[in-house]
Amino acid sequence: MFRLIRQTSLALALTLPVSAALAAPPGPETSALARNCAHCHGIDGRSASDMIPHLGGQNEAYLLATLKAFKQDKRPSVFMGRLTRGYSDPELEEVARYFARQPWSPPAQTTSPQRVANGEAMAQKRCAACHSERGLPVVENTPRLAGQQMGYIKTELDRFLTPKMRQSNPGMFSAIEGLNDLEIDELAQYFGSQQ
Amino acid sequence: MSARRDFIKRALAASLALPVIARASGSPKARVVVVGGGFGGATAAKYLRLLDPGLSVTLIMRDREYVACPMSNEVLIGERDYTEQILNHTALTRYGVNVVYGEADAVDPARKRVTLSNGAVHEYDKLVLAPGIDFVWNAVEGFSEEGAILMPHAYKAGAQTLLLKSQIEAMRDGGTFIIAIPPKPIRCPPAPYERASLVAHYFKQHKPKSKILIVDHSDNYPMQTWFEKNWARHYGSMITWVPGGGGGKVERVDMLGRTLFTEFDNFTGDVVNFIPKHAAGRIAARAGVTDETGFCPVDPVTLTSTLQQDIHIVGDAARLRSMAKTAHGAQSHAKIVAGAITAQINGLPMPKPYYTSVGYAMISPHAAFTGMQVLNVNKGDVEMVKGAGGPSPLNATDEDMALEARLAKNWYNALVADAFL
Repeated sequence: MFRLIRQTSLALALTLPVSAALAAPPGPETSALARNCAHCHGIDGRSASDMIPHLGGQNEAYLLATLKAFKQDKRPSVFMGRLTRGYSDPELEEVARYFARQPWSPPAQTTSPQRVANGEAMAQKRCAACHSERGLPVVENTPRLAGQQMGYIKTELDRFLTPKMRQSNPGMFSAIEGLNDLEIDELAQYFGSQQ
Repeated sequence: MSARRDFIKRALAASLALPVIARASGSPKARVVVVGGGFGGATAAKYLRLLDPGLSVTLIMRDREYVACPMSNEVLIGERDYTEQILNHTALTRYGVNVVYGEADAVDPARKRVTLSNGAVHEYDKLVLAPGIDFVWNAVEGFSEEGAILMPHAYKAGAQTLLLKSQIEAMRDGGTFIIAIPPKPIRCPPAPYERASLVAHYFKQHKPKSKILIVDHSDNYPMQTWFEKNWARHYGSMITWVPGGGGGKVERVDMLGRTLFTEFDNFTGDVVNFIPKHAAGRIAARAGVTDETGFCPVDPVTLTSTLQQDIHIVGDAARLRSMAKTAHGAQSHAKIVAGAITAQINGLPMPKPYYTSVGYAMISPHAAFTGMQVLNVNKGDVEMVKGAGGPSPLNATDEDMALEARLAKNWYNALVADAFL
């Protein structure tokens, strides 16, 4: 019976128009609110911009905690705080759930092998305990970093060094304390280069 | 495996597959025609197909290239390459959108058909009109469409952007650049003031004795305090704003003399950027969906015209009093309409309409702030959600303003990807 279902769905998949296979999960399951997020983050949460993070396949608990932190102004931002204050907690839950269900498949970015290598050494010492060696942690409230947009990683690392973030996330602060701009770029390049 | 089981398997596979084949070729669930391929129209066409591949979606676009307005003020001062504004619709065919190039000439809402200027007829079950704006050329005495050469609007990007750019570049140091702003509503309401800021940045470097005069029909404008504070800080007294009540309402123009006459005064510029009064793109009036304002009244839950059945309005043409007309906003209209049409066709509950509108205002190429609106439906219109959206903090740090300037380019790329790619 399982084989039957598999073959049936294969037959279905083959007859679907190419377009339907191209894009992620159309149909009534799509969240109307998540569609609005897609303006910037992409319908499958695959960002097209260096400074805008991928959300598709990100850990759900992390996504929700981050949206709530933006809303409560516990995580600084120039944009997301004002936006998330427009939505209820159940709406934010819906968005986190929608994007967490998309595949994590960031497109490749251009990196420098030397910087990636330097970043890897730092990442093993400073980041791996929480984010895992390659940036694909299994802990639900820790974000995936493998393949994340590098401009976004750098911007956020700079933010974690500010006094406000030192208070709200002392763990991140101490992990990256003392890094200079080049080293932050190397870390971003390392995680950005992972798949 | 028995022959019988094999047969059942094939029959089942065929019966499941058939309806899909049928829909994909020839008899779709419904035919949707989208007129206009700007940010709103392109997004509507793409999302209709994403949400329901059983729909036939035809996008009617006048030109093979679309020149984007967002970020085009940076093109005016040579900070951004014009080619970055040029978009097209070829990628939409990957989603199964049928892209037709031609100018929609007429809509017959009773017979549900759109006729193009080449005579081609497209029948629809649902029509999405996303015509953007057209200018009301004769709203001010002495002005006509030909005047756009002498006093370019550069308020639809394209040749006009390059024309105004060349006039600004050719202007002498010590000259006066005038921006004349028509009555509200206008698309991207902060854009003329952003334009003043960026031209001031250019003058400061290249023509520091020059002046900028904003002759405004209105007595206030969005994020006025933000602009005034930053102008004083970056550009001293280079920019002067004349509000409507203070002699800013243009009553007559002398196109050849580049002179604007207002109730109290007249202003002559070396370069005059005359932005004509707006109305919904003219196909909207021909379809019978505009009211006395020149724009299209809508039911805000579905963005359906209140004047004709089965016609949805997307983007600048829609009449929503509290919502700024922006590319970002047009994209949220498009998704509301795609959600509403697919819900209706499939007998599903109507999704909640989520309205957002965002505009970046560049004070210089390296400093920006944003206006953001998050809106809900209320009493037949939309209104801002209390406590959400609004402008960037007035006391934003230089670092945050620089960050927003970089984010502006990222935001533009993201909008383009979501609408056109």
